[in-house]
Amino acid sequence: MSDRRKAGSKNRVMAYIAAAVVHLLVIGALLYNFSNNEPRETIDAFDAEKIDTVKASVIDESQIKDQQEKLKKAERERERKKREEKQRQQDELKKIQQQADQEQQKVIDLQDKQKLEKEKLESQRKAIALKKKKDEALRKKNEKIAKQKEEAEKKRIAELKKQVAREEEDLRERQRINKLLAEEEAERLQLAADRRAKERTTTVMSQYSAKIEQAIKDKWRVAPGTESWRVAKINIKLSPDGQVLKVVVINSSGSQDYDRSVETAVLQASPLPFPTVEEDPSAHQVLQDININLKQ
Amino acid sequence: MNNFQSFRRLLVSATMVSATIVLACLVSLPSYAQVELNISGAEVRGIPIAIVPFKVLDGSVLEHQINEVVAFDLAASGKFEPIAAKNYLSNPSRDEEVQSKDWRFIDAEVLVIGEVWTLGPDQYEVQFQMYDVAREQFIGNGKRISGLSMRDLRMAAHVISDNVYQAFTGGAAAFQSRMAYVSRTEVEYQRFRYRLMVADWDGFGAREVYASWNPLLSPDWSPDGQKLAFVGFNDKGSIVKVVDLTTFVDQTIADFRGVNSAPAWSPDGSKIAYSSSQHGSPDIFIYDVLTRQHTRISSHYGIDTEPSWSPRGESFLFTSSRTGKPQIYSYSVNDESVSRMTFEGDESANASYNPDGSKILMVHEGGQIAVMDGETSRLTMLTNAKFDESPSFSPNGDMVLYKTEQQYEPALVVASADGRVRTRLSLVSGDVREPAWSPLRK
Repeated sequence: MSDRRKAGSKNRVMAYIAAAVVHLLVIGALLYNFSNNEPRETIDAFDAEKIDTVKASVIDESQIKDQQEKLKKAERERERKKREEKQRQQDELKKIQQQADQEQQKVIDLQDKQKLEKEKLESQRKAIALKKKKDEALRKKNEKIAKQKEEAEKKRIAELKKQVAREEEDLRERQRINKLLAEEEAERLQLAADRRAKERTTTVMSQYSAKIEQAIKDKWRVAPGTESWRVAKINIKLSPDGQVLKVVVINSSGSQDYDRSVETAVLQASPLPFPTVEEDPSAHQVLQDININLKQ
Repeated sequence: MNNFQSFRRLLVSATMVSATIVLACLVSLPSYAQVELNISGAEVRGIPIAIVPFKVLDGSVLEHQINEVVAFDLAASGKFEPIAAKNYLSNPSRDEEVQSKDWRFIDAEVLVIGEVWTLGPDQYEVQFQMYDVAREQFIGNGKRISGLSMRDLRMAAHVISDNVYQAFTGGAAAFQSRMAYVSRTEVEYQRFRYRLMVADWDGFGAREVYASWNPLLSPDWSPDGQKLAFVGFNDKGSIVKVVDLTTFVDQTIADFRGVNSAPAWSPDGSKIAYSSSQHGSPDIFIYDVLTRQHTRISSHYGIDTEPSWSPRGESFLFTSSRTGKPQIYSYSVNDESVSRMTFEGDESANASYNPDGSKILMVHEGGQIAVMDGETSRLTMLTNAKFDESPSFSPNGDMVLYKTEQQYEPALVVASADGRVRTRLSLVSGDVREPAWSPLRK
């Protein structure tokens, strides 16, 4: 678009220039003619007068007078005509001159305009150049600033990175310390938990040991006449819900009846009171395999 | 050779692998300490037993409830504690009907079930099965007792009792044994008929084996259970007699001058020891059944009486007042030595051994039944009354039969050998005395 406009304006300029050249040529031609004619005209007029004067002298006086009159008249006529012509020429010249002037003016105007245009262009160019320069400067400046900025940024980032690294290091250190502390704490807690678990295990174990002992004792009867010194040791295996799975006499009492009574008591007491995993996993585990001494 | 070597190598490596596995197992065992519990103070009591009323298949009503007889038997032994039938949650009569939880719930350790089949008029068959509640298993495949009359149903019950007793105590049972006793009936005013009776051990089915207008005393069973020696009276005094329980033929063994009393069969049945005062004070004599010879054993000026053989017959116990008050002595047949057995209390009399010879039963202080441990000589009182007499062990030694007085009425009572359980034989009533437990039927 702007290119087309540019091209248009260029054409226009070319047209103006062409027009100006044509005018100049026309004006030059005219000026040439005019300057050539004038001296000749002057000479001609001078010659004619001279010639006329010469003639008048030659021909009759009336005639010469007439002639003269005529001549005078013609002379006047010619004169008038000449004047007219001159006037006309002058007018024309004037007109041409005027026209030329006008053209000139036009050219001048054009030139002015062109000049103006040129100036404008120039100024524009200059402005553009300036702007360019300015822009360049700005750009450079900006670049510089950017560079500076970048540098600063880099520096800042580096600094930041450093700081981050430092902070990270700090953090790591802190974390390390925290971890150590946490580990220590965890260890402490674990120990406490272990102790508590152990205490709980002990409590649950003793509770259920007592319960199991009581449950078996409740069912345990020995035959009348059983010797009071008899002791049997048995091992019992329990299921996780306290069902008696197996009873094995480890140390016999020496009396089949007694051993049997012990075994029967355990079986009759099944299922025995038994701690759930929730109550205590260790007790739950450990109590699944127990030895029992049974003394009458 | 090559094959053999490679096989050996294989064997070795296999052994090593298995050893490693075993080791690994041992190592990975949890390191928990083995829990050890201690229980002491068992209750001394009989085995809780449930005896379900036997199902009579044709629905007829029996004269004798088998479950009741069995319960009575087992309870009297002190080794069982029957649970009342009203507490049962179910009444199975066959294996497949038994729910062990029903019996565990009422704390029964043993369950007895059974059926009575009526095969014809007065012809019955009894089937029974024992169940170990604790171990949830039947004992054997069940048993059948056939060819029974209505009267025999009671004996079938005793057979069941014996089976249960043997299965759960491991000892010999005595519920098929019998007892003898003397009843006195006032036929007319102040005229008494004395009758020697033999009944089932629980007093059922008593029948007269000998009768007299004079008192009868001290029946003693021959070891084969076929005869009874006892003391009767003739015009001159007391005499020792024997009556055959099959033929009811009686014979007099000793009718010497004075008092002839307290006969006691030796364990082999070849001799009868008795006391006789034919030489003044009562001494111990031995009558040889085969040769009919009488041998004087003791010749002390004190009263020697109530001989009672040791289980092997190498000695006998007797009561003697040689130290002033009656005490128990032992006479050794082998070396003819006499040793004093009792030192406790003022009086001990009427002693007898239990079947294994470890205990001596006696009447302490003239009216209390006591048992002395043969080894420790420790005396345990079975009763605490003052009118108890004539104690005798059951043939398995688990029970003691004796005569007591309850509300001024004479009564026969069976006590468990530890004295915890006493059961009155209410089937025997009236003026009864001098009970004697029979040996086991041979």
